[in-house]
Amino acid sequence: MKNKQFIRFVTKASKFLIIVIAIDFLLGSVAEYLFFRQKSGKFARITYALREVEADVIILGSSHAHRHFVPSVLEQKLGMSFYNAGVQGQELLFNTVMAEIVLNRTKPKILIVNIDPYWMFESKTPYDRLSDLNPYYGEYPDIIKPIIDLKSPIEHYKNLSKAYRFNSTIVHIIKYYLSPQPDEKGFRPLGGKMSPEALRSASETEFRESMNKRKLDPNCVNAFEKLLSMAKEKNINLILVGSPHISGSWVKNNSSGLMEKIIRKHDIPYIDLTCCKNFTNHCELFNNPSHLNKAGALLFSSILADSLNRRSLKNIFARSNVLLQNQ
Amino acid sequence: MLFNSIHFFFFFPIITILYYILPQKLRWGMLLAASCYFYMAFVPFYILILVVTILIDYFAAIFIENSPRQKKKKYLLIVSIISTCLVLFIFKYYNFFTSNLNYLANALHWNYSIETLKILLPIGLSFHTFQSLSYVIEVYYGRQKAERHFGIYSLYVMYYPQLVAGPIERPQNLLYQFREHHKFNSHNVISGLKLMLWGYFLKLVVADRAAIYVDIVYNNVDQHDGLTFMAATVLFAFQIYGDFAGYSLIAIGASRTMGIKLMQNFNRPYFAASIHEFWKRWHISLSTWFRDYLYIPLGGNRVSKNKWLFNLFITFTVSGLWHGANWTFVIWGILHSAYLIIDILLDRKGKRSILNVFLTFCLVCFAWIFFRANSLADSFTIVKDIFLNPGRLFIPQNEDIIVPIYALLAILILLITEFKKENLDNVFTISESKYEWVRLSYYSLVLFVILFIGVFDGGQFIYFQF
Repeated sequence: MKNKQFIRFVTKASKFLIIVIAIDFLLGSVAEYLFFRQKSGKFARITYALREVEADVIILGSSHAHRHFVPSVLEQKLGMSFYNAGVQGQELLFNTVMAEIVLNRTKPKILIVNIDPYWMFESKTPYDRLSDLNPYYGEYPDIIKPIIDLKSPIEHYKNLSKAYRFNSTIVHIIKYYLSPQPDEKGFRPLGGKMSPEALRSASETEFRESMNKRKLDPNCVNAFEKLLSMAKEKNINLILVGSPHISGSWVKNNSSGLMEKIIRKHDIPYIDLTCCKNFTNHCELFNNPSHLNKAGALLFSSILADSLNRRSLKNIFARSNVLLQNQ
Repeated sequence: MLFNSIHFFFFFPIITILYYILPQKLRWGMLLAASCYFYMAFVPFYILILVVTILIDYFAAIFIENSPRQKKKKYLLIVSIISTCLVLFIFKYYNFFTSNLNYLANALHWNYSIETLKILLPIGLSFHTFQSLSYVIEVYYGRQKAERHFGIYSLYVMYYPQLVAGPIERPQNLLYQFREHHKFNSHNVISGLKLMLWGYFLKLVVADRAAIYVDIVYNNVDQHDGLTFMAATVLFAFQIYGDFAGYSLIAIGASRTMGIKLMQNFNRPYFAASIHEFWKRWHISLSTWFRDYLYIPLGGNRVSKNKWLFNLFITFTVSGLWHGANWTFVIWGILHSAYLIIDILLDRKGKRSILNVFLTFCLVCFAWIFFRANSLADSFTIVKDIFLNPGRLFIPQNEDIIVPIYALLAILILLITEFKKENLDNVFTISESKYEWVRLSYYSLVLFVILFIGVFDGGQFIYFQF
C-alpha cells in the first residue's frame, strides 16, 4: 500500500514535471521571441549594445551615463562616432558584465565608463537589479554566471527556466510596442528643472555622513578591478568619467575615495566633473540632485568633449599619470 | 527562515522526506529539531524566549490539572497568563509603553524619563504566545488534558509550518496529530503542494507586486495626494491579504504534505457582505482565539446591550494592540469595533448583495490606512487628503509603469479565481477536471505565472512583525 502510494505520487510528479518543462519551454520561447524583437525601450537598447553596436566610442554606466552623454554633441566636437549604452538603475556589477560582452564582440577606439561615487558601497539593490541580465543568460552564460552567482548560489538553476529568465518583461514589451520610446543613440534627455527646496535638502551634510557609515562591498571592489584590468588586457582605451552633482557634498565619500585609489593604481584616465563649478548649485541644469536635464546634458557633453579635445585623446593615453581633473 | 527563501526550498523537501522515512517514535524529535533550526535561522539567541514560554506553560498546565481546588487552578492560570504575557510585554510593548509614559510626563512637565530598550522583536512572538496561552486555558477549562510529554508539547508550540505566523492552533486540533502515525499518502502530499503553490502565487505575485506601489506611496506621504492614497490603500488591502493568506496556505500545505492538518485561516474575506462576516473570513484562527478567550469570558453578547458593545470594543482594541505596539494599530482595532457596534445599533444584517460587499470592502480599506501608515500623523494626513485633496493619481513613468500594471494583473487573477470559488464552485473547474493532463497543465500554468511575473528579489512577510 505504502509503495503503491509512493509510486502513484512519483508518477504524477513526473508527469507534472514534464508538463512544467513543456509549458516553460513553449511559453518561455514566445516571451523570448517577443523580447528580442523589441525596437525601443531599455531592453532594446541593452540588446543592441550587447549584440550589434559598432562605434568609435561606447559609453557605459548608470542612468547618469544614459541621461548625460549626448552622442551628437560629442560626435560633432570630436569627429568620432558614439553610442550611449548607459542603463538606468544599473551599477558596477551589471556594467562589468556589459563591458565584457561588448568588448568580446567589438573593439571600440575608446570605452567611456561613467562611474558613480557610491558604486563601492554595500547594497542589496545592485544585486536585485542584476535580473536585467537574465534574458541574456542563454546567450552569454559564461560571462553572466559568475556575477549572478554573487546574488545567490541557485540563481544559475533558476535561469534554467525560460519563464524566470524573462520574468517581468512582458509589460515592457507591450508598452514599447504600443508606444515606442525614442532615443538618440542611446541617450534620452530628462526635462524639468530642480527646485531650490530640493537643492537645500541635497546640500545637507548629514547625507554625506550617513553615506560614509555604509560598508564597502568587496564584490564591487573586485568588479571594478576586473573592469580596469580587462580594458588593459584587451588593449582598450578606457576613460572614466564622474558626472556632476548639484551640491558636490556627497560625491566625496569612502566609496569614491577607494575608486580613485584603484584608478591611480591602474593608471587609467579619469575625468572628474562631479564638483565641476559650471554645475554646482545650478538648479536650472538639473532634473534632480544627481541627474542633469537636457540643458545640463548638452553643457556637460560639451565640457567633456572640450576636455578630451584640449588634452587630445592621444595625450590622454600617452600619460603615465592619471588625470584627475576638477574644473 | 522565510518560506520564499532558498533555504526553505531545500529545508522543506528534506524534512518531509525524513518525516516519512523515520519510524513514528522518532518523528516528533526530528520535527522539533527541524523547527528549532527553522526558528534559529532568524536570530538564534531568541530561541531562549521560546524555551521560557514553553517551560512556563508546560508546568503550569500540569499543576492546573493536578490541583484539586478550583481557586488554586484559577490562581495558577493567572500566574501562567501573566508570566507568558510578560515576555510578550517586554519584547513587544515595553518601548511603546515607556515612550508614551515619557511623552505624557513631558507634556505634564514632570521630571520623569525611562530608557527604552534596544531590542529586536522576536519573529512571530505574538503567534506562539497565543498558541501557548490557548493550551493552558483549554487545560484550565478541562477541555484538554495536560501534555506530559515535554517534547510533544514543545513541538506544539514550535511546529515549524505555523511557528512564526500561524494559523494559531488549538491543542485539541494539533497535539494528538503528533502522536498519529501518518503513512505516506499521495493525496495528502499532492493537495499540500497545491495549497503551497497557490500560497506562493498570493505571496510572490499578488502581495509583493502590490507592495512596491504601496511602499512608494506610504513611505512618501508628503509627496502624494488623495487619489494616490486611495489607490495605494486598495492595493495594500490585497497586499496584506496576499501576504498573510499566502503565508498561511504555505504553512497549511507544508503541514498537509506530512499528513498533519492545520485550520483554515482565510476564506475569501473581501467577498464578505458585512464587517461581522469579514471577521468570520479574515484571520480565522486569531478572531476565534479572541472570541473564545477574551470576548466570551467578558460575557460576549449574553449581557446587557451596553456591556455587549463594550465587550466588542475591548476585544477589537486588544486585537489592534496585538497586531503592533503603535497607536495606528489601536485605532485600526477601534475602527473595526465601531463598525460592528454601528451595525448592531442599526440592526444591520448585511444581506448578500454587490453593494454590501463593496461597502464592506471600502470600510475595511479605510481601516487599513491606519494599519499601514508609518505614524499616526501620516494616517491623518492620508485620510485628510483622501477627503479634501484628491489631486492627481500617481502613475509611475517609463520602465516603472510595470509596477501598478503587474499588481493589477495579479489582483485580477486573484479576484477571478476567488469569485469563481465563491459563486461558481462546481462550474468549469479546471483545477479539478476529470482529465489528469488538464489538472496538471493548470498547476503548471500557475507555476509558470509565478516564475513569469512573481517578485523574486526581497520582500518579507508583513505579519512576521506581529
